[in-house]
Amino acid sequence: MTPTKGPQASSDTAVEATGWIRRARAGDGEAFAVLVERHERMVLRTGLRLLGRLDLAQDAAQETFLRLHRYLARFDESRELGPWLYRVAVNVCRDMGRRQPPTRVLGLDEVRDVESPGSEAAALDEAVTLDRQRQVVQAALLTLPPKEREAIVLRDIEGLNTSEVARILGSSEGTVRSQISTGRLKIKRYVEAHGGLRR
Amino acid sequence: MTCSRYESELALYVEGDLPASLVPDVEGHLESCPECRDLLAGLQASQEALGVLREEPLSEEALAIVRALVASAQPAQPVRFPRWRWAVATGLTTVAAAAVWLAMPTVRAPRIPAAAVHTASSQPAPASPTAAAFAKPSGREAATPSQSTPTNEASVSTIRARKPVSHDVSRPSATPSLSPEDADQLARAVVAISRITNVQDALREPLPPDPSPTPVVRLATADPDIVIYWRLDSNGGE
Repeated sequence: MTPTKGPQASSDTAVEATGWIRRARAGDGEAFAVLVERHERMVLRTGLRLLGRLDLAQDAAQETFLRLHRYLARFDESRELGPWLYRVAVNVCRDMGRRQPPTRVLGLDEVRDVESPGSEAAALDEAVTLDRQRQVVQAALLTLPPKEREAIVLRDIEGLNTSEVARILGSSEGTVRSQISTGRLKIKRYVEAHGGLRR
Repeated sequence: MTCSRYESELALYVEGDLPASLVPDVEGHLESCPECRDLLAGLQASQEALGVLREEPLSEEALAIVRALVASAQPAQPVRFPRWRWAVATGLTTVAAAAVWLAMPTVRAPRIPAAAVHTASSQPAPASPTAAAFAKPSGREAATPSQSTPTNEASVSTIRARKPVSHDVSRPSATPSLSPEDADQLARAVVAISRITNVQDALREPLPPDPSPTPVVRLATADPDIVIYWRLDSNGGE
């Protein structure tokens, strides 16, 4: 159900990635743009799920890549860039979350139902249902405390295993499992209560 | 009502995160507890809902905005100059520093070939020629009646000492001086200046053969009395 590995950049060979990092470190702007492009989805997606708003997630992504640019000279190129970027993205989102609490997601009563005529109703209803489900689940995520939300986003949305999540969050695996377990139970209760499950 | 003891374990079991040592116990319990089986089903459904977020695509516009934000906030990349420009800049700096040092009135100038010393005056060469080559007349040093000095700042008349300090170019300098090669280059610069201003007839000595024409760089310094002229060779070096 949960993918084993989410980051797009995992498809790059280690040699390729090291080459781009070295060139970017030497001041090659194009190489840095390649690094951004190869990691932008995972960074933006993480920010979006942690913060709940696309504009905030874009700001967080910008800050994440700027920090990469500043610290590239010190980055140990024998390590993978993905986990490092996750950690920075999580930290950036934490900082932003402290300054600006997560936005309240529209309640279900504020989401208008679309009346769909004719035989295309099924597809449209499906799209609406899917969209509503996304809203409900995103709202459920935002009700979690930051650490549980981070653990759930990294594990269940980004597809990292508990060991990787623990390294990124700077916690033990036992702590991460506890956060994941509690988070999943809370999401289940919220989604069931708000009709976000498609059975 | 589910068994609270198994709730947290089922929440891990649903995605395979339960430690292997605990799996047999949980699976055995599931066989005998319908409430826990319902809980597991509910967890599977909510995890599936969570997967909808995972699958939601990010628009290209949203990603393009991120790239634009990063590009706009990125500090400028260091400008890379071709190597020959570094050589020119280095040479320029070295010669300029040396010229400024020589122009200082307390420093005695090195010995310079007489041919490189020229002035519009009928008086003998009064001052350090290298200092003179890089000095401009200030208001304090207006031409004396006996000297007819053109006003063009690049003219030969600018080639004189800032102060009426007696110099004897035949006496070796008591202070650290330029190497013979550097001194020769400075002399060539002086010659080049004279050619630019077309005042050869004011020279008291014949000039060395005309070198192939190359650009001369004029540098104004913070001191209005000091202007540095530097001649580039054909290779763009010193």
